[in-house]
Amino acid sequence: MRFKTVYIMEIDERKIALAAAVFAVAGIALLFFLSETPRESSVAEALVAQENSYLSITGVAQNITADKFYVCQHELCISMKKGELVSAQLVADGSELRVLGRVKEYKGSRYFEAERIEVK
Amino acid sequence: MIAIIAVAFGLLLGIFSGLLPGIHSNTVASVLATLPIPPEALSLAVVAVVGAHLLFQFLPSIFLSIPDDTVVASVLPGHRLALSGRGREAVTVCAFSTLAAVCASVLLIPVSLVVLPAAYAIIEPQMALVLIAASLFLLYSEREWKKIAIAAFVFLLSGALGIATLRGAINDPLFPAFSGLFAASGILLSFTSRTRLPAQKSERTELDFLPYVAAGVLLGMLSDLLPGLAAPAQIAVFASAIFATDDARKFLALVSSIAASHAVFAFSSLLSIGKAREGALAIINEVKPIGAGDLPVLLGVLLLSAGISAFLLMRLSRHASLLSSFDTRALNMGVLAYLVCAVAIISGGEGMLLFATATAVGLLPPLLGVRRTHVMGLIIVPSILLSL
Repeated sequence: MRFKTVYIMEIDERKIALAAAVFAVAGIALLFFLSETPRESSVAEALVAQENSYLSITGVAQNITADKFYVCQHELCISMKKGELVSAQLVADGSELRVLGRVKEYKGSRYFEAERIEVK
Repeated sequence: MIAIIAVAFGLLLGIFSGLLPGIHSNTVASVLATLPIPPEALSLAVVAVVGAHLLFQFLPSIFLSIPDDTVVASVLPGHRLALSGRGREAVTVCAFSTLAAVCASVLLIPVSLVVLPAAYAIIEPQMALVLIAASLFLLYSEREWKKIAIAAFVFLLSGALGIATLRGAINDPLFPAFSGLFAASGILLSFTSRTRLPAQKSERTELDFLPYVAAGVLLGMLSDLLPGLAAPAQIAVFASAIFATDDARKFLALVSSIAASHAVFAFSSLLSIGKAREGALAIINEVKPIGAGDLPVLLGVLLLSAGISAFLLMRLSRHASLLSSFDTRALNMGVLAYLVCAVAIISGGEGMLLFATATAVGLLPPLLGVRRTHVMGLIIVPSILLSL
């Protein structure tokens, strides 16, 4: 006569809930970290990047108006929304900049929402 | 001819997306928008998708306990009826309620075009307060203090996930988020149960749930005023506290009619207050702006699609007893594998992280004994922050 041994694993629901909660908190922290870590990028990359990408772009300021200006590298430019940044008022035509911000899109047009501007 | 093909194609896709958990009608619409389809045909196909999806989303919810996010509140009562051999009756209630709600909502469209802007003008400045009050009401509906505390934890955790999701650069972020919160976590939990469906009885039912359909139509209109809370499931939870009932059929009627009228009144909210509360509608409006002149055709297609789908759904539910011999684990494994692949392709590495995190969050409510709808904090909390 042959007996078959069956192992039954009993899982404690509270332990699973605790593990899920810890995993969730860690996952959310990692997602926040990834969304708040800027990536060095060229203007060309910014123009095709996923919307909301957090990027750092260097280039030359051009076509400055009251609420926006362009940052250009070679022949490519991306529009920069100044928002309420005080440092944006220091930008002059032709000045070299490093801009930190997020890629946005409005009706198919890409622009950059500046969060920090460093004039070199 | 192109119009007929577009509607038929949309109908088939809507049936497919309704039957396959995790595939939302918005996802189908966004894929369709990338194809070289004329804008008019695209509008018809997407509206047909919405109509068919409205009906067919109930099958996985009732028989497999796997919900679509718009009718997540229907999972427990629907599946409970299926486990007692009354799954076909549940399908009848949902199909009838959806169809009745779509018809009533279409008739009320002229009224909603006047009422919605006036109501929105009152609510919009107080949106943050309305959302906070509604969220507190949602948490309080748990009744016991311990459960309220757990629900608040789940709600805030989901809210933090929502903020992280919307700040990140993830393609189509709500797809991995909702797939994880509702589909993947539901599938994982289904592996712990070995319940098989019993043979399903007749589809006959009493029509004593009609007052709940009427309430659902009005609540669906209200849901189109609120961002974040627009998910009919949230409104259904608030409504369940107001229209308390132990009859699962009446609750199903309420949830189905809220989802249906929300879809119809999304047209009114787009035309009157400029807010497309239905993702699929926002997509076609971006390709070709919807005007008042387009309404008769689009609503006609929605009615046609919902009518055909209700008929097909009732025919299909006759074979529900086959599910009792079906290996549901293999099916669930297949769906889970599909979701993982789809998220990886659509949303990439960060999307996978979001999917895994959302799955972990989605596991918490059933394990901790609170309602699953608290995970809708994912969109409510960011909405509150944006409204402040």
